[in-house]
Amino acid sequence: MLLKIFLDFKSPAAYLAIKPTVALIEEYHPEVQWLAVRSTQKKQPKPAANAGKGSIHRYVRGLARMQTHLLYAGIQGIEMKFPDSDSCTDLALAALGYTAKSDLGSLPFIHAAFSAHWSQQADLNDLEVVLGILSDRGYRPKESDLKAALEELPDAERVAHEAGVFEAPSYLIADQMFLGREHLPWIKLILASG
Amino acid sequence: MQLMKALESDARLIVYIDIKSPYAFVAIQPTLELESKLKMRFDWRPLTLDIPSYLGSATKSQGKVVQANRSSAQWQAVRYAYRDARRYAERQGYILKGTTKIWDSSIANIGILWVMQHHRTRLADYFSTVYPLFWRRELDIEDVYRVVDCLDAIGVNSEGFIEYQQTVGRELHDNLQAQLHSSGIYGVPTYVFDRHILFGREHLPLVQWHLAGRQGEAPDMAYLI
Repeated sequence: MLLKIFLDFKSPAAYLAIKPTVALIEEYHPEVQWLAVRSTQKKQPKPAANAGKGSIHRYVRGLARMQTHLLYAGIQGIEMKFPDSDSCTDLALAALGYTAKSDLGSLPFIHAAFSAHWSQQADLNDLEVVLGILSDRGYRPKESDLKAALEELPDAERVAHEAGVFEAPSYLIADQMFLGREHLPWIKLILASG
Repeated sequence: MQLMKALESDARLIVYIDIKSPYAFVAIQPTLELESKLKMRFDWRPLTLDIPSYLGSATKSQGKVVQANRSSAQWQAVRYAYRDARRYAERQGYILKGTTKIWDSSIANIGILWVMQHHRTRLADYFSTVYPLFWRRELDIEDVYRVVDCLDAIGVNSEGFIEYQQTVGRELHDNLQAQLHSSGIYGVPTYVFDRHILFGREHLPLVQWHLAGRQGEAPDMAYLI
C-alpha cells in the first residue's frame, strides 16, 4: 500500500509528525513517498491597541499553536526553537526530491534537515547549509543536482495541489487525504486492513 | 447571578463548544465518553464563534456561494475542514451536511448554560438532540422556539428559557465571550485544565492522561476512533 507524506521543514506540525509517522511505517512497512509542499508559517504580529477582532484572533491562535507545539515537543523529548523571523525552506524541499532518487532514501536527510532547522535555526534555503546536511548523511550531491531539483520544485508543488494537499504534514492513502498527525490512528487502520 | 471566569471552575475540566462548529460536533461524543469513563462532571460552556470577523464571511443559495470575502487559501482550508469533520461524524453514525450560512448560535449555546444550571444530568441529551438535528439541517438554531422544543423533547423544563436567553443567560454568555481572547481561547472545542488551554479533540488523550493521574508516559495527540 502506498503512503504519500507531504512535508515542509519549516512546519512545526510536520516536525512533530516525524517520530510517530516513522514508528507507524516501521510497524506496517507501507511503500512510502516523501514529498514536498510549501506550508504557510507566518509569525503573527502582536496586534495594536485598537486592533480589530480578526487581528486579535489570529495573534491568539498563533501564540496558542506555538505553545501547543512546544508542549508536544517536550512530550516527544525533542528540541524545538521557533525562529525569530519567517523562513524559506525551498532548497531543502528541492533536496527532498533529490534524496528520493538516492539509494539512501529520504529519511536520513529528513531527520537531519528538521533537526538543523528546529535545533540550530539553520537556513534551509542556503546552498552550503543544505549541501552540508546532505554530505553529513552520506549523500553525494553536486551543486548542479540541487539546482536541477530546485527547478523541479514548482512541478512537485503542482502535484501536491492537484492531490488536494495544501499544508504539511499531509498524508495521502487509499484515496483519502489527511492533514496532521492526529489522523495517524485512522491511517493505521487503513494500513492494517491492507 | 455569578459571572464565570474563563479559566476558572470547580470542575477539573472546562470544555468550550459551539453548536455551529463541525469540529465541536465530532468532539462531543468522545468528550462525553471521557467524562463518563473518568466518572467526572466537566464544566461545559459555550464559545459562540464570531466567524466573519476572522475567517471571512459567506452566504450560500442553492448550494452555491453567492457572496464571499474569503481568500482561496481560506476556502481550501474550510472545504477540507468540513470534509474531515464529515468523515469522522459518519464514523460516529451522524450525518453532517454543509452549512448554508454563518449562523448565530448564541441561543442554542445559551441553552447549554440553561441545561448546565437547571438539569445537569440531561446535558448529554441536549447535545445529542440539538447537534445532530442542526447538522442534518433540521433545526433553526436562531429560532428560540425551536430550541425550546429541543429542551421539551429531552424533558428539561423550558419555562423561563425565552426570557433567560434574553437576560440573565445572555449576560452570562456575553460576559464569557468577552474574556475569551484575552484568556488565550479562540476556537472550539477547547479544553482547559490546570493552566493548560488546548484547542482540538486531538488533545483528548493528553486530557485523559492528565485527569487520570498522569500515569506512564504522556501520550501524543490523536483523534480517537
